[in-house]
Amino acid sequence: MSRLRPWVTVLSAMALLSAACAPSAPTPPAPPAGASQPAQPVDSGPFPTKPIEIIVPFAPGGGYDAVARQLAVPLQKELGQPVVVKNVPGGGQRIAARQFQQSEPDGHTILYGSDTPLYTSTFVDPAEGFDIFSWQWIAGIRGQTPMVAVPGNSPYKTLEDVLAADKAGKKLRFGHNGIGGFLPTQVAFASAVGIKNGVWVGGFQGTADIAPAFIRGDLDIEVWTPLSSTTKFVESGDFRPLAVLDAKRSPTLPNVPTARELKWPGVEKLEALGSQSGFAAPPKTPADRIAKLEKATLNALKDPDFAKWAKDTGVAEDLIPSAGKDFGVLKKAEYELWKTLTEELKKAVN
Amino acid sequence: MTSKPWQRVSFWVTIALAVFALTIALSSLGLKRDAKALPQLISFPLLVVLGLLLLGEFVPRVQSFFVISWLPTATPGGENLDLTEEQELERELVETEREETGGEVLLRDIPWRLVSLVFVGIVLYGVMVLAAGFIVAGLAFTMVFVKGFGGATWRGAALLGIGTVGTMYALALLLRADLYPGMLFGGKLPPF
Amino acid sequence: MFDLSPIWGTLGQLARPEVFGLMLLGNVIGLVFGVLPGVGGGNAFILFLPLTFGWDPEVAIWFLMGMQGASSFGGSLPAILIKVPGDTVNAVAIFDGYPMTRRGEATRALGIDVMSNILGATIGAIVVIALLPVMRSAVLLFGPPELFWVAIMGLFTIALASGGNFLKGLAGGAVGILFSLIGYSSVIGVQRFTLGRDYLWDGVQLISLFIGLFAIAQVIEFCTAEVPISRLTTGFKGFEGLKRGAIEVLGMPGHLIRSSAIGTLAGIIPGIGATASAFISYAMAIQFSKKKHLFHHGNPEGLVAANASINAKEMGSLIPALGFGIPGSVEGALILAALLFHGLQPGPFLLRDQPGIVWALIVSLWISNVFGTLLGLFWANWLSRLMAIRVVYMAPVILVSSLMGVYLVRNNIWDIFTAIFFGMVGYGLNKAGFPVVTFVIGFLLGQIAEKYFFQATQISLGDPAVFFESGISKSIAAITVLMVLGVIWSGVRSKRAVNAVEVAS
Repeated sequence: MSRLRPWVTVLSAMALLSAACAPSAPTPPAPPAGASQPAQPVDSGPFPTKPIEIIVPFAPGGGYDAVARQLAVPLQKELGQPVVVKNVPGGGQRIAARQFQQSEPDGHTILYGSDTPLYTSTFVDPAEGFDIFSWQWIAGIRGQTPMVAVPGNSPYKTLEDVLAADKAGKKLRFGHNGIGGFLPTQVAFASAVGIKNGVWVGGFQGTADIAPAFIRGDLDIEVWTPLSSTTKFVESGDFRPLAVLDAKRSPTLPNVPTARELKWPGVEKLEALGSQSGFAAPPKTPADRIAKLEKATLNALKDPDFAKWAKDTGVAEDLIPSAGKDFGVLKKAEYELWKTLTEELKKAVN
Repeated sequence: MTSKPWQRVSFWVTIALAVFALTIALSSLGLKRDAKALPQLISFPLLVVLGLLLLGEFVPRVQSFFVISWLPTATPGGENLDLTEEQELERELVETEREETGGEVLLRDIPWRLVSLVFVGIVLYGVMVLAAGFIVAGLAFTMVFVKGFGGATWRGAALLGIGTVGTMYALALLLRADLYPGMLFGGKLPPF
Repeated sequence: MFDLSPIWGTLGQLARPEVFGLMLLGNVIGLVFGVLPGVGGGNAFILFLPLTFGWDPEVAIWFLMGMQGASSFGGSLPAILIKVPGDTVNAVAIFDGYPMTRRGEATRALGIDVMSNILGATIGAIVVIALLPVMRSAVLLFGPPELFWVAIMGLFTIALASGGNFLKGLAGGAVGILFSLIGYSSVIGVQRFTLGRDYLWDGVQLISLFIGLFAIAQVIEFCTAEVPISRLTTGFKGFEGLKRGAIEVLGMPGHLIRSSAIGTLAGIIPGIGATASAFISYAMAIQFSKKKHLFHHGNPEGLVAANASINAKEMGSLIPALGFGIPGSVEGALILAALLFHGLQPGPFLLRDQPGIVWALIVSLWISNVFGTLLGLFWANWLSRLMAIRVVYMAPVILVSSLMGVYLVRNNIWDIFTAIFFGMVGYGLNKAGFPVVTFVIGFLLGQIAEKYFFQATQISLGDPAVFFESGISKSIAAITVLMVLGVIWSGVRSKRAVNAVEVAS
């Protein structure tokens, strides 16, 4: 029953989005034809009239936080109002999700998030107080390509070695930081390539402490997202990359083949594993405001200062500036993938 | 020790802790094996320790068995029974301080009226923040408190209140953090 | 030995007036944020980071490290003077700093504070520089089994800190451990004792617990026992006291070195935390002290142990940040955020590609510790006049500002109620004679020990031998055993001594 509701909501949300975001930036707004919703965006008055708040569901200092703070500078120029980053960490993003859901739908509060951990944890351990399918995506910002790697001194050179070891009954240790974190990605990977003897080692905080454990050889294999935070370990030889999970090779790691090139099993699923993040507005935010925010975001992503920063830090290659509508489609595909993995996730958690 | 156990604060706090430990011990029974290992490893021995403490409240001998004094004492054997002058001074200092602060606190030593007034005041402040936000609640609390407890003039109370809240408001402004505005002024009750 | 000459080049930057000025400005900001309860130096760092946009990265580092270096001293001032710690790490300073203030020896305490801050940072800096060539291996030496033993050793210091009624110390520690288990554990994959509330998913927030136990409990104390903070007006005044305190620190090299070593180590190995290392260092100081009875009654050794370890920890946390580009701690995360913000890629190659930045970080953090502390001194003299204010005026100000600080940490209004709850817990524990020190150590390390235990077990696929594999595991385990034996022995000895005195008299 409760599994059905999201479907209804997602459909209506999609309809709403396509109506709202059809005039995608930077083309001048034109009334979309043939939409079943009221086509003409109603003028909801002057906007923005006060500082815009970006909710970041993580503590200050992480990758999400850095992007949001850097993006806040050009956004401020675009919108003519201060743009403030508000960190609401905790509860596997659920605290932020609830706060966001309840916020005033006037466009002054937006969320910078990736909801992958949210709905995976929703499948396994249903939570109340928010409904990710009611969120209105403003724009896609970052699509983080995952990379599969083994430690630099690992006996495994290819996925075939790993699978052979798995078949021989060897346990393969993956590190994670919980159901609201990296666990779903690891489980999905193992399931897609057919690893049977995965061991999920939890208790980590994040990349920060998984990386040393991995280099020490405490773990056997890991799917790393985002790629940009791990390239330095590939260069130093601490990580031995097996493949990137994307349709094309990464510009920073041109020597690492893609899963598709290597003809890995379950490659479609693997390529959907990247974590897609973007700005969202709470449900019922007026369409004209969303359009304005969308345009501002897409322009901010092109800002020279931001672009330079993104290039210096390697963030640039993950950027996927995309209109809210297109991003919503991407989100739906993600949802489909994770839904099929519900049983595996439940098993991994318990 | 002339006081009865139930006249002492430590008796009642020990019981409260025992209730807490028992709650944890019982509610961890239903957890899976790994999850209940540590809670049980800690809570059951804790119950024993608290039991011993309660016993000690009734039987002073038990209590004194577990008291380890760090006060300087003369070494046994008799050759150095006298403490140095400095040690004597320090010993005196510690003992006077202990009399004032630690030691046995009896229930009747605690100014209950005052303490409960302060407790209620602080909780009320929390509720006020929830209802009316930090600015209003902070101002009101500071003023009423200083006026009521300190006997300050209204003008002085207002000055202190505005000073405190103003500083915090400026800081929040600087931090670009919005202080909770309170439910009366449009603040949403955050998820719990 | 490797080339140390970049140090002089980096120090030379201080001659540039804008660099020096910005560092001092950073110091002032760090001090102000440090003093305010609940609002730590981290807030200042995040707040001012965007301001440095477009600056020369090295100049920005001087400014940012200026804030970082000064904030822990700022936090120790209210801890010593009014028994309200400015930040969680400073809570240890109240145990011996505040009793000194009450005796009228505030300036002596501040002198000790200053000197141990500076020396702790200096020792930390020396260790960090010495470890630079081998920093990667230093970090990699500690995996889950080793960290498990570190946590266990830390937990056993509960026994060291349990003076007076030994059972009460143990009980306090155990209750602390139980509180730490509330929340979601990703290593076991369960939520425990959360009453089904997402609010408790992340467990009890450290800042709420500390503000409750220390600030709010103190507010209640202020209101109910109308006593002036300093009951004696004699003692050491002004510069005399400062000098005496500062010189006293030099007379305890053992405490200085041990505490700094604990602090630096806690910085290098991610996962223990600055607050825990300060408490462990305090408990260890008790064990090694000849004046055990004076702890909690204004023992300068306690103050030294706390401060030296905090400042050494700050230096130590540079190691994982510089060596791996991973944040080993809050401080490390901030430094990484700063590097990333300025387009520098922290990681294994930072020392090779950007040696100037690495040296700038080390030197500026150390120098700003020294300058920030000295700068804070001027202020301290002024702040110490606070004690003349009637406590009844101070109580509401502390309550209002510290609860606001609690809220600002993660914008969750329920946190202030958690803090109020722990304020009452703290008041009850105090009155019943349960030591807060052991409660806090239990809280800080209980869940951590459990986490590393299961993590190590999962990594070894269930083989318990993993806990005795490495030399480090074995030695920490051995130290723990020795420590416990030492406690038992000194306990028995003091019992015998007491008996002997009783027999003799």
